[in-house]
Amino acid sequence: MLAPTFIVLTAVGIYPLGYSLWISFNDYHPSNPSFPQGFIWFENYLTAFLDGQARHALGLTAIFTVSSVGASLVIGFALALLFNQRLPGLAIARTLILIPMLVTPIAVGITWRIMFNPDLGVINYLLGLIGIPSQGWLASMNQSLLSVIVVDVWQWTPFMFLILFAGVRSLPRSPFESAAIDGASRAKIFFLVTLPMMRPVILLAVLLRAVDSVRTFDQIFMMTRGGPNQTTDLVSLYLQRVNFKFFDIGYGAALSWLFLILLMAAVIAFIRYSGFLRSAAEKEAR
Amino acid sequence: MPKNLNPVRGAHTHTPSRRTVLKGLGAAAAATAVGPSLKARAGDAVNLNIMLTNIPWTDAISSTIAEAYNAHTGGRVTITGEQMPYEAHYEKIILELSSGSSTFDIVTSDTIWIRQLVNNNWVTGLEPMKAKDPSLPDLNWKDFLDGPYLFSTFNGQRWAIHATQSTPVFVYRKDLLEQAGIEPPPLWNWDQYLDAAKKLTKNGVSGTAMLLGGQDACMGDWMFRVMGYDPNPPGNDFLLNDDNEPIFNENDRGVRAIERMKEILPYCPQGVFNFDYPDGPPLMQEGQAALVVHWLDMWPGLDDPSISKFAGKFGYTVSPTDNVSQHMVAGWGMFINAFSEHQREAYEFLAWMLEGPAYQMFREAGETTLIYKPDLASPEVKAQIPLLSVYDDINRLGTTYTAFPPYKVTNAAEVQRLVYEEVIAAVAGDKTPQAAMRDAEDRVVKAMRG
Repeated sequence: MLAPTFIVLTAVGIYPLGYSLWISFNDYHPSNPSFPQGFIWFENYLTAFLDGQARHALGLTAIFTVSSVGASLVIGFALALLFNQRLPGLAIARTLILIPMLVTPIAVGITWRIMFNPDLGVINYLLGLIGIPSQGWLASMNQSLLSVIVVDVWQWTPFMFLILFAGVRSLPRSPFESAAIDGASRAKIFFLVTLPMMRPVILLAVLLRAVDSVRTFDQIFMMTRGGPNQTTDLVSLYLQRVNFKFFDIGYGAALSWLFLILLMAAVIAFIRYSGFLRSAAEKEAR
Repeated sequence: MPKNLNPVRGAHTHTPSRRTVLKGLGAAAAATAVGPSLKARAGDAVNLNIMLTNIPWTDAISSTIAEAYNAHTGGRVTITGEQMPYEAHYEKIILELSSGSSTFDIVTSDTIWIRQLVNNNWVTGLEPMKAKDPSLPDLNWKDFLDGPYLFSTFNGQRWAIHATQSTPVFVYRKDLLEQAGIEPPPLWNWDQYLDAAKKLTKNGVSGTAMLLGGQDACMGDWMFRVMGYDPNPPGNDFLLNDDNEPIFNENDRGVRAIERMKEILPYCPQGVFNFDYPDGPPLMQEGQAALVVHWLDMWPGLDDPSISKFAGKFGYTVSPTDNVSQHMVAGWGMFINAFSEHQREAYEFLAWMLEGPAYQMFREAGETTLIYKPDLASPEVKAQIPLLSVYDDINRLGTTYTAFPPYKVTNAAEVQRLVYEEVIAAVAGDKTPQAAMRDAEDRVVKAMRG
């Protein structure tokens, strides 16, 4: 009975991974059959360690991920707490707030590219109405990374909100009532009751969001193509260029594997040192 | 599986038996095996599928031209097309042809990629086909501009027919020049261009613009300046010599071109580092910039009052230059996929196109980069497309043609990207132009290992 499952899993999961691992040990340029091709041991991996562009992309990806996940965590949590109140109109607003998450990243990229246009875009127009001078946004070497982070935060904060809101709603009421009876201030309740109790949910949301964020490609490709002057050239964009502009598929596979290993190491470190499993077990015990 | 496990699936759903599934798979396999021979035997209805890009002439291919050719063949040959955005077109070609796919019988290609595809044996040569099979129709080359054939004539053979020819055009606002008391071009040098850009930057209008956000577009901005320093024999390449060694900074011309780009940066719109091809037309249609030099195919619609606020106020001429007057050419070609199962029909279609009417349909679809000589000689057409006056200046000034590089190597897109990265780093001020050119030379040498 297990045979069909095993065959399907091997075909769709393990075989492509194994094949890409094999390719990563090869010089493989399908666009240039006249180029040297074939097995080259670890040359692609050695090249990757010496590749300044790959390090640059990795650094940008780290900044992008930490900033985007951090900002969407703070905003998402604030929204979750806000929407936990009994206020009129919140039910409709709660639905509307989810819309950015439902838009395809390509459409998001195109829309924000137009809005961020320094000369014709609506953002500079609105800023101009309140006397703020026109900014370069995606066209500025100093603001382009910030701009793409803003778009990522805009699109994925609803996702963060959704998880955190579910967490907030599931919190037991008694600790809050006890704290209120003891006369704890709102800040104390937040830091000493809400946050510790939300810890496993926050860690889960951060983990899911971070893994998704490091793979961001579509909207940045539409907005900047990694520019200007490679200031938004994240790992995913660099991988796309190596694989589909240079068609250096062997090197692209090696970079992908190295990136996967780094990502797995980061996830394992996060789970281990954040106390994610312990928090989850405690929540389960409660 | 028990029959009643999922009763909610509805009356029209049934679970096929294993025997039925196996029968179906067997029938499908048999159909796949005999399909090509049946198709070959039938010999009457043929569909030619064409890989297209998203510009006006390709709209004509899948509409008016498809209809006309279908009628021409008495309904025997139908034409279908699949449009790719420019950014994805190269990827699509490589992915299709490197896997030996016959999905597309005819492929359209930017001129700089054609040599690579020919080198990889993915293109069926038109003249070799005719030599092998004299019953094929003759190809009429004489009614078309020769410029684009710099790219696709290789080993003495023509490998593609060309649909368009683009060339740099200096677009300027006549009204703004007049108001500023500036004598209009031609033939300006880049100092005059800079002076004019300075004077015209006022009242919310930028004196000029470049498209630095796109690899190909930015390479255009740089090469339009590089080509003005040294004469280049037709058919040569400003980037690489015959031994594929970098020559783009000979006599410091690469550096000087970067400096020319940097000096006009203060007179460009703020978005200049993010502009790519689609951003070009609105710059002029909305009156954001007064002077731009870019490819001819970027400007359809400038004189159409329904989309351009300043229709009728534009002048067109040859690019400024510092030393020699040369004009790059580029454009789009069409070739037969070497893996196509309909080689003969594809050849016949291309031969029919070269008879001329198809090119008139390109024009009717809004294409401005014409190469059909009767169209170019027609006063009505010239009046309809004022952009074409650039060819009058080219002829009057004796400007020579040169091909947009790099087109002779099998990794043209990669070489172009490496040079682009260095040029943009220098224009952005991250490197000196000298350092950028040295790094570009080193990187190109490493990339030229094929």
